[in-house]
Parts: sequence; C-alpha cells; structure tokens
Amino acid sequence: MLFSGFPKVALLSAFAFFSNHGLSLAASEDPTRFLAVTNWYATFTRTLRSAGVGDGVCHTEWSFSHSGEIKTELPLLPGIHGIPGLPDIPPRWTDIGKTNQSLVFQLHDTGTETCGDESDVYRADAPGKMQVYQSAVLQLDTTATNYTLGLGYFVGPYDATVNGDPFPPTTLAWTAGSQGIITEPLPASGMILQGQRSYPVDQITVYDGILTIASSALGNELELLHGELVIGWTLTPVLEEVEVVVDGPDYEDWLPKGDVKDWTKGGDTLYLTASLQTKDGNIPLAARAKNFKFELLNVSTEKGVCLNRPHEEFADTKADLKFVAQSNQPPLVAFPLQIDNGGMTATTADGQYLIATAGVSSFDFGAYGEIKVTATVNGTNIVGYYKKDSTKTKPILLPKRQPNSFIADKWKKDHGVTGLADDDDAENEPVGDSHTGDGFSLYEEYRGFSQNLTHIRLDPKKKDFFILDRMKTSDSLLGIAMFTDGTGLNVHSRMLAEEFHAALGANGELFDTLVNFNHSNGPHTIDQHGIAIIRSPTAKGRSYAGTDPKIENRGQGGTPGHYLTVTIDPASSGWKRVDTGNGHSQIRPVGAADIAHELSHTCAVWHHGDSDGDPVLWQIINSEVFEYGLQIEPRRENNTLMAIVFQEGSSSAALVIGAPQGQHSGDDNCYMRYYTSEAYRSAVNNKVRYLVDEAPGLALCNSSKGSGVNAAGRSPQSRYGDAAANRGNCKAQLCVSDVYDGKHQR
Amino acid sequence: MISLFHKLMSHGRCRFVAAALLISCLRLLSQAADTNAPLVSISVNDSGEAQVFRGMPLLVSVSLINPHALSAEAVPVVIGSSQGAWTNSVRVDILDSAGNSQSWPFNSGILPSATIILDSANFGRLDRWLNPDQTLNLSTGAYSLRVVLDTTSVTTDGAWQGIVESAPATLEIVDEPATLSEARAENKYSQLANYEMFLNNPTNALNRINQLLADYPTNFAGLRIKARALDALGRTAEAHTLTAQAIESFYAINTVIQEPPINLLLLQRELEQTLLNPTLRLTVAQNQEVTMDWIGHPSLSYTVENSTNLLAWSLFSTNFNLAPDRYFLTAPKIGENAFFRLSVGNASSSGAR
Repeated sequence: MLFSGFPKVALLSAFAFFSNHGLSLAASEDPTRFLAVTNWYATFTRTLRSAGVGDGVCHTEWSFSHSGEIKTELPLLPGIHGIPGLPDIPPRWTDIGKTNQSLVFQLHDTGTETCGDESDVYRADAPGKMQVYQSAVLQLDTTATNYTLGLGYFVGPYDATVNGDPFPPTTLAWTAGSQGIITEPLPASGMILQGQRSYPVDQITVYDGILTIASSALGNELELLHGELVIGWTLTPVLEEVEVVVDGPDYEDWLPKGDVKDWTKGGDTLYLTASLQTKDGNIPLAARAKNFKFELLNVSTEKGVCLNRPHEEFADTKADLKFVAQSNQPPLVAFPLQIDNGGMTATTADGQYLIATAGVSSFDFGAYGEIKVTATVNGTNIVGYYKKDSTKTKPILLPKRQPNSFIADKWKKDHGVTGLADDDDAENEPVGDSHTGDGFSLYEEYRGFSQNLTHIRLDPKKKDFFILDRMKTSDSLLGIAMFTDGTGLNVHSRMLAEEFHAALGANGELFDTLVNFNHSNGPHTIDQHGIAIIRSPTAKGRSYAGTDPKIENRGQGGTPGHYLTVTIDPASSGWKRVDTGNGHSQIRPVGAADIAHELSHTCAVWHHGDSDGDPVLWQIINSEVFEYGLQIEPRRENNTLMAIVFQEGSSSAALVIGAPQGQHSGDDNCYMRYYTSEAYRSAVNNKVRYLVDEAPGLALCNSSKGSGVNAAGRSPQSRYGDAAANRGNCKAQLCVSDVYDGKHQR
Repeated sequence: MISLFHKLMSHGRCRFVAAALLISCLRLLSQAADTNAPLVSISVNDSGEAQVFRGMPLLVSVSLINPHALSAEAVPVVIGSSQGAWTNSVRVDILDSAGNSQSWPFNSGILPSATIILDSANFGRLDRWLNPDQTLNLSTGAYSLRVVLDTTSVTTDGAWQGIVESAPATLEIVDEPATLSEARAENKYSQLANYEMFLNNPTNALNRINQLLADYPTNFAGLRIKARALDALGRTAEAHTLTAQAIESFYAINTVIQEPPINLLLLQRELEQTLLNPTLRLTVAQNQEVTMDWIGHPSLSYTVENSTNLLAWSLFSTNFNLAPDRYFLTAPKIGENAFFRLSVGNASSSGAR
C-alpha cells in the first residue's frame, strides 16, 4: 500500500540505484555547460520507407524509398538575459542563412493508381544533385534540462513524372513529422545531442510536403498508407575556450593606504574588474560565468596602519586588505557582491556574467596580499590572472609587486630601487661615517610613518631622522633647520608626541622615542629611535643630549637610541651680538646653534676636542693679575692691554681658557665647536693671555683643519689650532642608525 | 621664556624680527628644495607644551622661516596677504579639548608691513599675549594651538602662494596649586618676571624673581633673570657678581660636565662688556656745573680725560664719588668747548683701556 502510487518498474529502478551507489546520488553534469557551445556540427538523417498494394476506390500500388543526410553547422545566436526592459531570450543555434550545408539524398518513389481502365503512374527520383533549403534551430532550456530541435529543411528539387510526363520542379520537406519540432531531455553527461524519432507515415498528409508526387497514387486510398518516417540527428558541439583576466586602471600604480587619524577606516580602495574572454582575447559568444568569486589570500597583518600609528596599545594585527560591503555595491561596482569570511571573500549572486568588479580596501600603508578571482563557467572554475601579466601568475599579487617583495613595484620604480631587497638598509646619503643606512629597512621606508597625523613614505636613498620638537620656538625651528642643512639628513621634525612609542609626560620624565614600533612580519632592521627636543623643566644651566637627569652624561658617540632626547636649557635661546671688528654687528642664533649642536651629538658627532679643562682662576693682587701664582698679562689680540672684571668684593675671577686641540679648535664656523672660551694662551709668551669673544658656528664642518680664528698663520696666532685627533670633520662622523650604537668611540 | 620677553623688548614689541645671519661665514651645501613652503611653528611661553596658571601671562609666538634659511642660496620667500598686512594671512586656531574654537582677547603691539621676506637673513615672528589679569578669565583645561599660513589668494607679485600648517602646541590652563615644586615655581615666577621686564619694570621683575629665589636660591633660571633685572636697574656689578656665583655653583654641582653653562657664560660676558664699555652720562646744571656718572665696578679703574678740540686730551680726574653702582664726578664750569672721555682699566697701573 505504501508504494501503491508508484509504478512497480519505477520503484525497482530506484532500489537498484541506491543499492549500487549506497546513499550517494549520482551527480549530473551542469546543464549550463551547453551554454558554452558556440557551434554545433550537425548531421541530420531522414529515411522513409513505405510500399504496398491495396484496393479501395481504385487499385493502388506504391513504393516509397527516401534516404538522406544533411551535414551542417549551427552557429550561436546569443541570447538576452537580465537586461531591464527586454524579455529574456535564450541562446539559439541555427544555420539560417548558411549555404554550406551538404546533402546526400536518395529517392525512389513510384505510385500507380488504376481506376477501371485508367492507370496513372507517378514517379519521383533524386537527380544527380539536390540542394538544401531553409534551416534548423536548436534551443536549450537549462532549467527544464531539455532541448528543442526545430527542423525546417526542404531538399530538392527532385525529378518527377506523371505518366511519363515531367512534373514541375518540387521540393521535399525535411521536418520532424508534421509538427517539425523535437524536444528531448539534455543528456546527463556528455555534450553530444543525438537521437532519432519515427513518425508513422499514415499520420502524414500529402500536404506536409514530406511525401513526393508519388503519393498521389494514394489520393483516393490514403487509409492504405503505412510505413514510417525516421528522423535522426547528431549534434556535436564546438566549445568556446575562455579564461578570466583581471584588470584595474589603478592596479599598476596603486599603493596601499591606511588612515592615520582613524585607523579603523580603510585608506584607499583598489577596484579590479574580472572579465571572461576567449583565449584569443575576444568577448565570448556563449560562455557566461555563473558567478565571480574574489578571494583575498595571504593578507598581511602588520601591526597598526604604519610604523608609528596608532600607538602600540591600539595597534591591531587584523587583516590589512579587506572587502568592505559599502565599497562593493552599485554604483561603485556593476553587480553587488556578497561579502563573507570576514571580508576575505566577495561573490556575485548566481547569474550570467561577463564581468564583475570588486573593491579591495586597504587598512595599512604597507598592506600586501594576493587576490584570487574565480569564475564558475559552465560548471568549471576558472581562476583569473592579471591581464598584462605574460606569466599569468595566479593568484594576483597585491599591490602589484614582485613575488619576493612586499613593496609595490610603483614605489620602487619611482625611487629607483627596483633591484633592492625589502630588508635593504644601505642608503648612504649623507655619507657620514662608514656606517650605511638609517635603521629603517626598505620595506619600512616604503610603509612609512605618521608625521603630524599625515602619512609620509621615506626617501630610500637618503638617511632619515625623526624629531619631536617640544619647544616649537623660533630657536628650535631654526636649530632644526641648521641641523638639517648641516647634516644633509632627511629630517622629519613635525612629529607629534603620540607618534613615538611612549607618550611623553609633561615634565621630561623618561620616555621612549622608538619610532618604528609597529612591525610584524615586514622586514625590520632594528628598533630605531628619533629624538625629542625638550625644554628642561628646570634650568640646569646647560643643554645636553639625553633625558634622564640622573644619567645626563651619556657621553659622546651614541646614536639616537642612546640619547632619546636633547634637553635644552630654558635660557638657551635668544640672540647674541658679536662685534665683527669691521664696524658691523652680527646677530647669531645662539639658541638655534645649541639645538643643532645637541642634535648632532645624537648622531655620533663628537666635540672638536675632548676638554678645555675647568675654568681657570685669575686673581688680582696689588693691581697685578695672577694665574695660579704666575703673573700674567691679559691682552686683546691687537696686543693692547685689557681690563678684567673681577667679582665685586672679590679679587678673583674664573675664566674659561680654551686649549689647543680643545673644544674650541678646528673649523670656527662649525656649530660643534664651543664658543665659551674667554681667553687663550700665547704660544710664544707664557705670560700673555689673549682675551677673546667667541661666536657659535652655523654649519657642520667637513674638515678637521682650523679655520677662521683657528686658521694657521693667523695673527697673533691660531687660537686653538686644528681639531684634536679623530675629531672635527664632523660631517664624516655622522651616523644615525641604531644598528651601530656603541661603535663610535673615536 | 626668559629670552622671549627680552626679545620683545629688544625688537620693539612683537614685530617682524630681522636676524642678520652671518651669511659670509656660511659654507653650507645647498639642500635640494622640495618646496618653498615656509616652516612655521607656534609656541606658548616659549614651549610647545606649556602649562599656565591662571594669573600668569601667556604669550603666543608664531615663527616663520625660509625652508632653507641656513643656506646662502635660499630663494627668498615673500609672504603677503590678499588684503592689508602680511599677518592677515596668519591664522591661529585655538581649540579646547572638546574641539571648540576659542577666541581670546590677545594684545598685539605691531603695525606689520604688507609683506615680509623670508630668506637666509630674515625670519618672521608674530607675538600676541594675554596679561595676567586676562588669563584669570580663561577656563581651565587643555587646549591645542595651531597656526595656519594661508596665502592661496595672495596676488602680490612674487609672493608665495600656498597653505602650510604647524604642528600643534598644547596648552594646559590650571589653577595654581597650593604648593609649587621647583619646576612649577620656576615656570610661574620666570614668566611673571619676564612679563615685568617686557613692561620695562625691572623693579617688579626683581621682586617676582626674588620670590622664586627665596625658596630655591640656586635656581639657575632665577639667578639669570635676577641678573638681567639688576642690569636693567643699572646694578650691573651686582648682576655680574650674581652671574659669576651662579657659574661657580654650576661647576660645583656638575663635577663631570657634558656641556658648559653656555647661557650663564654668555650673560657674564655680556655684563662684562657693559662694565668694560661704560657710557659716560653728562648732566649740566643751570650754573653750568657738569656732573658725569657711569656704571662702575670696584675691580676696574677709571680715568676721565678732557679736551677742547677732541685732539689733545688731558687727565681730568681719577678721583670719583661712589654711589651704589655708579661713579660720579662733578666739575665746575670749564668753558665753551669741553669734551670728556672715560677710560677703563683694571685697578692697577697697567694702563689697560
């Protein structure tokens, strides 16, 4: 009772099926595979056999014998799908208009009708050559999984006689019975459409044109007609070979971006369009993608959006490339995409597509990854490649880059560093000492930094240096300019406190000026530091390189990571008048020179000499001046005597006396040279002290030779001579890379 | 902050400052210029991160320099305005912590020109201030200040066109705490003293800074400002002694020094120059009696000479009356043409002049 509604045969068949295949279902091939057919090579056959003798009103004898074959080609007439305002028209294949059908046809028809004494004899025969007229049409219905073949040929003309007299030229219909249409299910597998159908001749009327003139013999005895018409067909497909290419107007030049102000936002979106095309680059006639799937693979997860933004505790390691829903909806893209897998996948809805566009949003200035674009075409997955990539590499690298690099080709090309590896840190401008690089790998220079909440990528051919100016005065502004000009470094001086590793306190407590702290997988040379210029919260009477009041004396020869800051005395600003001796006064930027001086210390530049010693005590005794018991003569450099101001109520004065090869030696326009000396000793008279007024230098020297007041041959003498051994020539001492900290004990 | 108010005084209150740099001594390599956009900065009380108690003066300083100011080959950058003075192209944006724009009643003493030129010898500076009474009316809280130089609509021939923005300075307005650390006391009294100096009132400045030194007698900033105030009061010898003591104190504290006390040494030298080059002041009474006075120092000897023709000079006197900080000499009427000059030497017979 349970299966009472099913035919027994069907039930048995179903049982047998599951017995053979367990519980799995045999998979039929996707019926849409036929949509990729551009042409069908068709062979149609037609046979008709009928013979007999019979008596009705008259006596009739007949013999019909048809046998023919048409070979033809049915090319595609593309359909219309999904165009608003137009009805869907399925694709069709037809040889309408074609003239290259071939025909083989044999025909021998005779018919005799005898009524009384009169007999009429009809004959039809194939001549030496017959032609095919009209056409056939094939139409698919992939939803109903069937196809319809419409046969509408005529062949002829054939030779016909009536009682031996020629009959006018006539053609023969080649149709599928009287209706002319065959509908058959699509094969579950394979691509060849093949079959045959038989039609009883007695259901054919003479008016269908299927029978020849010989059938006239049965005009009065049609009920006698029997036999069958057999129509056969074999359609062999020509499949279109297609591929998927991906292109985007910005792909070649695209550099990923983030947002340094709101790091949760994408910085930029790259739109890529995947297209289906034939192997020779043309638009496919038949093939359409059921869907396009864009997948992001091996996406970088660099910390933050660039090397110093946001601050480390806010810097995440989420994927740096994503599909974002709002960027993948019309009108930004032609067809909306469904975003899945945490933004790693974007897929079109099922349909019939030639193209699809997806927008990839970047969340990091050094983002990298791969994009795999897959089109499902007639049940086959086709993975796309970048249109201009002759190697057809799949998946496609994002941004456009070399397989062994995370850096966009565009940036490398623009900066002339195409051949450099991502971990390169060998730039050598300015040359400085023998140490190359600035502590930032090529990838880090490319990924870049936030400066005053604006992103910058570095110059990979120049050494870079970061400054946080916490003074922001004209002195610091000019001091930085002096340092920049003197060193030739690529100085970034508009940094904010939060753009360094540690937030800075208000009172100069310890903090860290590490600047490339947001790194994960990208090549990282070393934890490189910048320098903060801080105004000492309490006057120390001096400026110095360093930050911790307890360990101010950090010595010389370190790199930025050794010092972290330069601490500037609050009084170290303003302008000092210097008498040039030619009737003019110059105004030299003392505060600026001090700042440039201390900044240069953080780049391993030493003083011109090691020490001039402590101030020397002069005493006035009985109107004479003594220096530790030795009576001396304080003079001007023109050898006139000069007065000394001693402390009120005291007979002594402490003076800084510069020494040969001391801190005042060397090039006198170098800001690394001291300018606090009040006197120097005569080289020829041990009693003479020349009182002087020194001035700060404005540049960084490139020689250890004494110049200006230290020049050899000067009158009355070179004040302090050449710089000490291994001192001076400050440009040649410069080193900014923390890789080499501790390696500058000159 | 010390130098700031001093600069204001020295340069005639908040105006464009021309700093003639020693171009001839520059042996700099020219730096490739990416742009001619000026460098701009903004500070509050000489700091990019200032804390101001209500009741302290508040000075906002904007600086503009040529991007290659240290290069002798710097291309001059002309700063103008679409209308009026160049300062009209400068906008100072002050935002509170909620991002609300602030409008504060700044004082300004400048009559700026239509244009300025930024090159290797000149930079631009614009100062605006609030006096102590005015800052009492400010709301406590955190503020950010940013300067925007916008010359995009300037049509002056050769003027730079563009827009450039400074990194922000931060300002915290707070009420004065009940007790002050040395750093905060230095901040407060230094600013107040400098403000008084700015007003040409060194007596008040001295009183202010003495309040700092009462609690922190070795504070270098306090000593330095006090020396300047004393100098402004004509008490240069005291200023010199104070400075010398500060230097001694520095070396006593810093037995291993990385850098010398440059600013104290420079101040000492500046004061010495004042003492070694005194200005002779002459006062002629109705009875034609002449009184001469100058800033003197006991370690120096002075000689007054006179002349009737500026060619032949005679010793006039080496005996003077002493008054606090000044030396006096009174002479009777001495004819129609009388010239005097003062020579300075050590209190010795060495003849140093």
